[in-house]
Amino acid sequence: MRIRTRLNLPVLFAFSTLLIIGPLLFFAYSDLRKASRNELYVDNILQLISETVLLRDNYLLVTSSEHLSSQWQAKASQLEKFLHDYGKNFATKGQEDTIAGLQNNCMEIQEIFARVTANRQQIKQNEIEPEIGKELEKRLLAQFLFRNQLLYDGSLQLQTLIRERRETTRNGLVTVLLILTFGLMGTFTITAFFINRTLHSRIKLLHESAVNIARGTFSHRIPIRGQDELSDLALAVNDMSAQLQRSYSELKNEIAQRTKTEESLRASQKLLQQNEQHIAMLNRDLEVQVSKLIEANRELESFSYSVSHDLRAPLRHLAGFVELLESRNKRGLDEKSQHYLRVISDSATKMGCLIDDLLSFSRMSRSEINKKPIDLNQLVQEVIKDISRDLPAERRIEWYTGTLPRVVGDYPMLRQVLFNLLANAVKYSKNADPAKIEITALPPEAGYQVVAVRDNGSGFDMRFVDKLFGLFQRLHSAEEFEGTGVGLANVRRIISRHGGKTWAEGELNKGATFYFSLPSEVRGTS
Amino acid sequence: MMTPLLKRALCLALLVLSMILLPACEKKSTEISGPREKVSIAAVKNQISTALIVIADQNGYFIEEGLDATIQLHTYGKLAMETMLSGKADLATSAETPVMLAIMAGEKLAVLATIESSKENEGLLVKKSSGIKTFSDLRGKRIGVTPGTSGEFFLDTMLTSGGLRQEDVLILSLAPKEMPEAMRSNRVDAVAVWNFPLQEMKNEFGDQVIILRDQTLYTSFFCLSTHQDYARTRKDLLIKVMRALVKAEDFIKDNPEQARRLLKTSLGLNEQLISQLWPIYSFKVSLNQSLLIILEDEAHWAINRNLVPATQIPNIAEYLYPDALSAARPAAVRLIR
Repeated sequence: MRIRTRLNLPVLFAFSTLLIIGPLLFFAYSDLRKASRNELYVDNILQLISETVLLRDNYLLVTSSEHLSSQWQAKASQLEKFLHDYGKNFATKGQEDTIAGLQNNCMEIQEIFARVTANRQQIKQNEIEPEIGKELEKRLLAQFLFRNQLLYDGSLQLQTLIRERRETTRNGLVTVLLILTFGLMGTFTITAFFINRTLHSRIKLLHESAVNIARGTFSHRIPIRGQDELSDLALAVNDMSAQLQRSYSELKNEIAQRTKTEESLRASQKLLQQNEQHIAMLNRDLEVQVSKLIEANRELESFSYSVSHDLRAPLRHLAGFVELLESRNKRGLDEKSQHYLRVISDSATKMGCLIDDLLSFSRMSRSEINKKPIDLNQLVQEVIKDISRDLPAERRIEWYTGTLPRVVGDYPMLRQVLFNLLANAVKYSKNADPAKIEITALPPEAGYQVVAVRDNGSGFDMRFVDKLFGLFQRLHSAEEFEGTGVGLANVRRIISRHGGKTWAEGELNKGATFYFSLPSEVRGTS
Repeated sequence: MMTPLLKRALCLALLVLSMILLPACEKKSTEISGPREKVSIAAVKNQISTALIVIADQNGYFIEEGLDATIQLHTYGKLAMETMLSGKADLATSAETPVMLAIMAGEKLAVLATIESSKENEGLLVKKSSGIKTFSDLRGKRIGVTPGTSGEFFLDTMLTSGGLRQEDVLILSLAPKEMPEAMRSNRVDAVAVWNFPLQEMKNEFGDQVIILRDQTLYTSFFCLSTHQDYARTRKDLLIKVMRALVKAEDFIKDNPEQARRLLKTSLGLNEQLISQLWPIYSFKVSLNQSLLIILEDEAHWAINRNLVPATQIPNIAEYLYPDALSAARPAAVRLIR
C-alpha cells in the first residue's frame, strides 16, 4: 500500500466516521425523542385506565347509576380512541403487538362492561334468575378484571418496551460512539505506529544502503518491500547503485588502462632518457670525433697547402731548367731527348695545374664565408660571358636561362660553383652542335631554392653517379675530355658549406642535369 | 493480495476491537460445565399448548442450559398434573383448571409460569340436528365433558352465559378420546372439549356440527407447575428451565413456520390442524396478576359446585412462584405483591 494511501486512510476513516456519526446522532435523537413522547402517551393511557378503574369501582361497588355507567363508557371510548389515534406512534414490532393487544382488551372490557350492565338490568327486570345472574356477573367481572389487568399490564409492558428501546438506543449510541472513537483512535494510532515503524525502519535501511553505496559498495542492493513510495525510492537507489557500479567498473578499467599506459609511457620516457643520454654521449663522442676530424682536416689541408705550395718551387725549377735546357742545347739534342723534354715540360705544366686546383679546393675549404644577397640571374650572365670569351668561334652553344632566385651567400664561392657547372656543361657538350645548356630554377622545396643546369652533352652512366662529386674522380678519359676531377668536388664542398645539397641525373650520350639547393635563408658553416 | 503489513494492521485492529467488545459479549455467553442436571417434564400430546416445551427440547435449549430434560407426553393436562403430583415427574404442564383444583385439593403447588393462553382453545361442539343454536338451547341436552379439566369449567361458564345451571342439562363424563364415538352414536348432543380433539371432531363431522363459545367469558391458560418443595430446592434448575423456554418463545416468534414443522414432526400432529389453529394461540412465558384473578374465580366456582372439599379459597398468590422466571426474563413477571 502506498504511504500516501496509508496516510489518507485515517482521514478517510475520520470522514466516514463523521458521515456515520451524523445520521446516527440524528436517528438516535429522533428515537429518544420518540421514546419520550411515547412515554407521555403511555402515561396518558395509564391515567385513562386508572380513571376507568375508578369509575368502574364506583359503578360496581357504590351506585350502579346510569350516569356513572355512561361516564365509564365515555372514558373507555376515550381510551380506545386514544389508543387508535396514537397507536401508530408505537412503531416497533413489540410495541405494535402490545398496542394491538391493548386496543383489543379495551374493546373487550367495553363489551364485558356492557354485558355486566345488561345483566344487572336483566336481574333488575327479573329476566334472568338472580342466582344465575349473579354467577354470570362473577364470571364477567372475573374476565373484566382479567382484561383490565391485561390492559394495565400491557400499558406497563409498553412502558418497559419504550424504556428498553430508549436504553437500547442510548447504549447502542454509546457503544457505536465508543467503537468509532476507539476505532478512530486505533486507526490513527495504528497508522501512526506502522507509518512511524515503516518509515523509521525503511528509511534507516535506505540510509544504511546510501552509506554503503557512499563507501563504495556499489554491489549493495536495498531489499524491496511493498509497493509504495519508499520501494520506488529504493528501486531508484538500486538503479543508481547499479549505474554507479557500471560507471565505477568502467572507470576502474580506464584507470587501470591509463596506469598501464602511464607505466608504459614512463618506461618509454626512461628508455628515451636513456637513449637521449646515449645520444648525448654519442654526440659528445661525435663532437670529439668531429673536432678531431676538423683538426685532422685542418692539419691535412694545412699539410696539402704546404705540400702544394712547397711542390710549386721544385716544379718551377723543373720547368725552368727544362726550358733552359731546350734553349741552350736544342740542336744538340736528338729527337728522342727533345720528346723526353716535352714530356717533362708537359707533365710539369699538368702537375702545376693539379697543384693549382688542389690549392683552390683547399682554399674553398678553409676560407671564411662572407654572406650577402646575390642575384643569380646576374651572376649566371657574368659566368656565361666569361666562358663564352674563351670558346673557339666555331663552337655553337644555345644558352637558356630561366628566372633565377635571389639567394644569400658568398659571392666568389657561388660564382665558382656556377662557373664549374657551366664550364663542365660546355666541356661535355663539345660534341653536340649546337650545344644546349639550360640554367633554370625549380619551385622552392622545404625552404630550399633549387637550381638546375642541364646540357645535351655526353651524359653519364647513373651507376657511377656517386663518384661524380668525389675529388679527382673522373668518368671519362683525359684524352676524351680534359680535366683534373676537382671541379665538381669543389662545387659540392662550397654548396655543403652553404647548407645546401648537390646531386645529378644523367644518361649516357643524352646529357646530364646537375642540381644544387640553397637554403632560402642561407646559414653558413665554417 | 494482502500485504504482511496490512495483515498485521488488521490483526492489531481486531485485537483492539475485541478488547472493547469482549466485556460486552461476556455477559451474554453462557458457560456450561459439568454434568447436565436431570429434569422430567410431564407434558401433553395431541395439542400444541406445550409448544414451548417441545421446541426447547427439540432445539436443544435445555441442553444449552445444562439440563438433561425428559419429556413425558400425556393425553391431557389433568393426567400430566397427576403424574407430577404422584412424583413421577418434576414439572407438569396443564390448563389452569387442573392447577386450581390441585391447589384447592391442598396440593402445595408452585405455578412457575403460563406458557400459552387462548380465548378459543375450548369450545362446545354441538350437533346441528340437536337444534342447539345458543347456550340457552342447551337446556335438557346431553353434554359430554371431562371432569376436572378446563372443559368442565368452560361448559359451566357457557351454561351460565345461557342462563342455565348444570342441573338443566345432562352431563356425561367422557375422556376426549371417547367423545367422537359418543357423538357418532348419539350418546350426546354436544361435547365441551379443547383442541385438537375439538377441531378434529369438527373436521370429522363437518356441517353436521357447529362450535359455540363465548370469548368474553373464558380464556384458558396453560401453566407449568411443580411442587413448592421442588421449587424451593431447585431454584437454579428452574431458572435454567425458564431460560430455555424463553429461548423457545423467541424462536417461535421469529420462526413460526419452522416451529410448526418441528411440532408436526416431534408430536406427530396433523399439519393442516396446526396451521388452522396456530393463530388462536399466544405462546408467551409469563406470570401475570390476571392468572391470579382467573384462578380465584375458578376456585370460587369449584367451591360453589362442591367440586373440592375446601370451603375457603387459600391465598393463591402463595402458589405462584415468580423467582425463576424473574431471573430468566424479569419483564415477563407482572404480579402485584
